Amino acid sequence: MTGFAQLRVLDDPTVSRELDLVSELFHRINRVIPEKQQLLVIPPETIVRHAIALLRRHGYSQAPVVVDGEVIGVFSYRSFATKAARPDWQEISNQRCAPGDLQVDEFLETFEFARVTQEMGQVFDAMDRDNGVLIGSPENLLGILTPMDFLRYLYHVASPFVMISEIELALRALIESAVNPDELVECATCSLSSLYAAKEIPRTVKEMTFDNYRMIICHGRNWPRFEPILGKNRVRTSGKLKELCDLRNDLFHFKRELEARDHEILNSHRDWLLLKVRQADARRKIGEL
Amino acid sequence: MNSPIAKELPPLLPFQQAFIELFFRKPRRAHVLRSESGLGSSYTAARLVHHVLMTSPEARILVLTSRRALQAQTQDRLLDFGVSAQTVDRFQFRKMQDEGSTKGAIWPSSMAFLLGADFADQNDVALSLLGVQWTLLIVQEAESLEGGSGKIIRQLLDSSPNLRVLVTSTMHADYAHLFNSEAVETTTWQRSMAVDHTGKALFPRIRNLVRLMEFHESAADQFVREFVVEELAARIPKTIDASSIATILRRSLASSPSALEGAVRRLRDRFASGLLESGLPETTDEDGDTPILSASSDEELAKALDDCLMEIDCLPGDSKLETFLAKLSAIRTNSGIRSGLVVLTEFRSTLFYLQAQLEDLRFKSIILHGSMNVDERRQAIERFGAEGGVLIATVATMTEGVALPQADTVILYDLPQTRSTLEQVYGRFQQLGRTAPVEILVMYNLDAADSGTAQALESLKAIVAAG
Repeated sequence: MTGFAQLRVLDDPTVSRELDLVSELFHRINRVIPEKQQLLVIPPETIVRHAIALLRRHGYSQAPVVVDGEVIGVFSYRSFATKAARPDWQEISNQRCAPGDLQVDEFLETFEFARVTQEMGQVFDAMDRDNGVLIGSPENLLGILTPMDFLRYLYHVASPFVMISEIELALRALIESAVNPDELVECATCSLSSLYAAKEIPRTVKEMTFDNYRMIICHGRNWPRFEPILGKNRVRTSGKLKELCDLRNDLFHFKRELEARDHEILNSHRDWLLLKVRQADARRKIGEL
Repeated sequence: MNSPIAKELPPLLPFQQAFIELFFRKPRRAHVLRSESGLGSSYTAARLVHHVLMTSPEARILVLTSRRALQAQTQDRLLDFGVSAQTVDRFQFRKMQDEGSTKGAIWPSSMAFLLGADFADQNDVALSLLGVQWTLLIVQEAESLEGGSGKIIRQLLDSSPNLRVLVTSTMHADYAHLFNSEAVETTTWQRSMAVDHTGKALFPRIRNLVRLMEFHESAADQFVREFVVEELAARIPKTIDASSIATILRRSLASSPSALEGAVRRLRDRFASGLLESGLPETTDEDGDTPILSASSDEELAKALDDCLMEIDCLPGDSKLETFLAKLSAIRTNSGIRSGLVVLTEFRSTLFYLQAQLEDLRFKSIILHGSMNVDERRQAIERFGAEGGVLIATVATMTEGVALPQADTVILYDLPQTRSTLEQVYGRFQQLGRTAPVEILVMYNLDAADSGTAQALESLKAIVAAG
């Protein structure tokens, strides 16, 4: 018996793999919590004035209140406002201190707990009602989720698709403003003939792939038609479009999760094309194109 | 958890086997394995994990790495060896926390956990790691750890009295600060001393060459450089990131107009979204209000960035690229690109820029960059090995596990600035199987040579001369 045969079986590997797969494929709460979230927790005896200064300093709207590692509630701008507005003048006079001088445990509200493995939709009602959800359990607080986290996450997931569609449509528009339909067929024949049989060469931008656009635009013989719109350097344009093509493939074939850097590249290339579209538009209006 | 698929393991080379035997024979708390690249230190470390779990099935092993690619490669290796191995990032950590009800239970024994060194240093992660007893800690490529990462190593040594540590690194790193007075055993591997089972030298002495591909800037290139160095860099807000932004601008400028354009656009995007201001943590007032740049400095920077983009857009050519292409044409004319030419750049945008140019000239090219996953990288290297041609790669992909002994010419389109990176890069070409010299060509701008470049060049020459 080898040493490995003696290794303790920790859990059923099949089930474990399935769970990992589910987490990777489906959008679970774990993915929505910001990766670098720094949890701010405060003890119940914290003075409200200090707690609010802490919230402001961290840019948070709420903070879990914890005693001996256990969450007893949440202090938030809302919980404070709701309870601070309740007493009348007489009651405030009797307690002989301003609301800001009281302890946060006078102003707690309760948030629901969710697990990292839950689906996003399962916490929408709680999120809508309380403006936040705690992740983990009262004894094992793992994070806090707010509507802004959801918005950021969904934007992060969706924005590359939106940017790629903008880029693709912008390229189509630029091609169509540089060449008429007959010239486009000429350009396609010149640059795509090595890829397609003569009869199969795409003839309209809608029939073409993203890489077709790049090959048409950046082909040496076609370039003079596109240079007035895209600038002086054909190779640099080709390099940018290649980079975009690479990212587009990764994105649409779900090869990997795009990183912050990829978002920046998409965004910067999108801005570059947006500028070119604006310039082409302006020049068309004055009859230069 | 990732489950292993045990395979029959190939025999280790004699010096690798000797190191593992030494590790068990001399039970020092810390072993430092300083190695020239290409000798399999990461592989040996993975085999050590396997041995430890064979002899102590209840062992709990932690592997700290600063590079994701090496982490993925190590996990693959461990799984191949039949070791239960789990890479732990923030998401996995949360999942493990969610599943584990009591402190410490999230790090079961009989396993190896792979963490980024910086991630392990984060407070909550460190606290959790310190809550259990570890058997073996492996710190890979320790030379690339950030300064603060040593803290978790010291803390683990303090909290796990029976913990043993293996640090792997390049030849020129110093780890005395990590271990204080701990007993440290240092082993050094040099290629010149490496022999196989028959006693035959694994790396026969081959005289490799370093040559400069010198070029002068055109007037347009020079204008852009002066604009970036004098106009733009001076307007960067004095945040804590100011020096790194200036470095990125300088490096991207030296690389290619595409890299510079990418850097300037990203800088402008960050500036527009207010991210540049977030680097002012020490000057916030008590209520957390962040001071903002004055309106006039905002406008000046925005205008300088836009002007810079316009200048780049108007650049008619690229002197560096022209020199590179002339060399490539000469290689093709003289000998054809047979075995393989490798072009290395620091920037992904330069990589695509070069690929577009090579495609235009009908060179067959293969690309290798940091956004490719482990399988895609492996396929690219295998394709290059089988078909030859031009491999355009980013420097960041030249890590442990990448072997390019078949390359006959390497063009450093961008010269890495640190000695450890140069050693890593050089090591990729000095792997088992090299039978002929490799010619290393360095793109060298005669109009922008600075002390950093001169120093890097000296380091490269010294590394190559040492074999």
